[in-house]
Amino acid sequence: MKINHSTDRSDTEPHNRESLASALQQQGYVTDNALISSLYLLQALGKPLLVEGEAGVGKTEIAKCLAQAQGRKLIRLQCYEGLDAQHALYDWDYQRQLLAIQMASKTDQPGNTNSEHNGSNAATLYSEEFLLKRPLFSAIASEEPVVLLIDEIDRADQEFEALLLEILSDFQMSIPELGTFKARSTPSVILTSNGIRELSDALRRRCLYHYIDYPPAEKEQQIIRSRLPGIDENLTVQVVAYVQKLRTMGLRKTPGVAESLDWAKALMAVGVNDLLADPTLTETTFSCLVKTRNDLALLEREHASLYEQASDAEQNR
Amino acid sequence: MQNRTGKTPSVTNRIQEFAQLLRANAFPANPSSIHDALRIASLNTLHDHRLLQHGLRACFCKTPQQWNNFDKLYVAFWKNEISYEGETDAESAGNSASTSSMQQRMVGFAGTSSDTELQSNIYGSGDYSALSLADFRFVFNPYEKQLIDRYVDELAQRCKRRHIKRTRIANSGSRVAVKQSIKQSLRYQGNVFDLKFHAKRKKLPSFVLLLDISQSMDVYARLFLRFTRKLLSVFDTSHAFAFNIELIDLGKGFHTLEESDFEQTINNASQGWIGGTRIASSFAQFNEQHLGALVKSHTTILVFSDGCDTDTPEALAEQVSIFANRARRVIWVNPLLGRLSVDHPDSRMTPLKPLLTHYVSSHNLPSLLALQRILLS
Repeated sequence: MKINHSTDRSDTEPHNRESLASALQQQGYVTDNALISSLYLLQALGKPLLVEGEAGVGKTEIAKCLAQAQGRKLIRLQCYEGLDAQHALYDWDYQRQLLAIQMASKTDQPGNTNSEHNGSNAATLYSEEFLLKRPLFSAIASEEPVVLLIDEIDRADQEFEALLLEILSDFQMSIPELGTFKARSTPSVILTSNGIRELSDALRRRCLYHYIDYPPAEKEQQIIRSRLPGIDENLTVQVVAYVQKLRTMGLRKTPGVAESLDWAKALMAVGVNDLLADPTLTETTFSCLVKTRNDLALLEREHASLYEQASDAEQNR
Repeated sequence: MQNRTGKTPSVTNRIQEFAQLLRANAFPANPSSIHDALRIASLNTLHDHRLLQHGLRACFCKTPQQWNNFDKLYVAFWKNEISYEGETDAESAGNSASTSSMQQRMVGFAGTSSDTELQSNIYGSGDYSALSLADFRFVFNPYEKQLIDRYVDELAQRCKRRHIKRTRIANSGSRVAVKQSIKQSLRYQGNVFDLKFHAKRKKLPSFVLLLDISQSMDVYARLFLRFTRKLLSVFDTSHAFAFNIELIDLGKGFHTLEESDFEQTINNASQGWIGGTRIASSFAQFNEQHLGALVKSHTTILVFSDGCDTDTPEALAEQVSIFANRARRVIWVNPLLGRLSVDHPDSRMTPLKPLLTHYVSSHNLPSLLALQRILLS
């Protein structure tokens, strides 16, 4: 018989949009109305939010900033091929269980085969005391509401997606030996995907959806200013113009916002305040922008036109 | 009278009609998402159309494509600016039934009983029988094109499901899992009576697609890509290239290849191009730049081309032999083969045939079905 450990799911009062927007702004996350609406609905409807988009556009950062903005604990599950229930949900601490058996056998009379005694022993072995809580179980069992980030779900196997369905739809999980655990407080669940593999319809159906594209130039400038407060204004404009142009060139690994930030940071570190001033010095930082040999070759071939783009952007400003 | 979400029936009806419109345009607007949409409407979003739009978009969209198409449908429905771009084409084809059905798809009234009946008639088995043997190049009617697209999608979806089932069965295995066996032994006080086994993890095949986008292949390439994209999305490791006079990297993962992107790629690649297809030199480029990284002993190379090359057949055979030696198998799909028999003497393909594991066609639905058996074997 399954024991139901259900407790009241106290839904927290969702923040209104304005306070959510300003809280995220304080964390340095530049957002827009559509994303604010999605995050608001995540809390108001109590449904998980699936965020898709290219690598480096700030999907993971949403969960981090949301957790900080709301003063909640962030529990992160990084998905990978072969991830299974033992690593994501729970596992039994069988070493401790073995020790407990050894201890018990020393205190037992030899030849004691009393079924009642053995039964109570087994019940003790399969109790919460011997349970190792993995990220998903921690999120369900937490007294305080948490932000649960299931990162790069597309890297996990399809079987793992099936495991998630119960948690995502009912915020509960079943442990055969103990029963069903219901969430004590509804976690804010954010799943991210880079679109490496198609996710199942069942998973998508259980989630709200948000797609993040590469930001327009103005927004990207805002992001850089927000994340790198000391950056020169000219450099911001040039970096964004350069990267925006680079994204249209069909690179194998298109640079995202994360790469723009890394590059801007690297340029500041080597003392470049103007891309056009010292191209040789600038070229030493290209490794922040491109990640394959072919892309690097393309970048070196096309850098003249890219500088031109950066120069035009600066003049138009 | 108010419903349980606290909204007047007219709002509820409008949202349900909007959901019907979305469903008719292939959005997954199921009862659960309609319920969520009604809850969103009850969250003070009705006074601001933008808030409602963002909320409904998060609720009804499940893919990037739907995300991009949503705004157009939203504006069309809520601001009564409904029009159907393909209407003229369908009318010119003289198919009134399909025209009315397509209009409904945009207008959003496809949920009535008469319309459901009409749609079920349209998508009945009779059409499949009629179209199944038709060569794709003879399908001009927009309605029939749409049907073919649908059949191709369904076919690929079925094959994908079958493959997933097969993989699961094959993965049930027989290697002893020490950790789990010890864990299992706890109930026997540490004595290992009951062995546990590791699931066998089969090394999944990887695919490389080389797609000929010369004009002669245009009709078939679109459908072939649609089919392959669906079918092979089950595999994580796949990579696609297109070629005409040079090799174009379409990227990793077939599922990222949307038709619109593909057409854009073809258009970009064809600009300023005069002369014949250079298959051998494109393959040489592939061998030089990507062979080492992408082709392993478990890789299947799928070539989709008619073999019409400006280089000599011997030069082409030389390049094919390079990747054929490295790959598990090379499947050459020639849609023009549907017009001839496999054994028909073709001087262009004769030197190549000994190097190929399979040489097949894909000009109609049965040939696609045969191809999927080979691909998943």
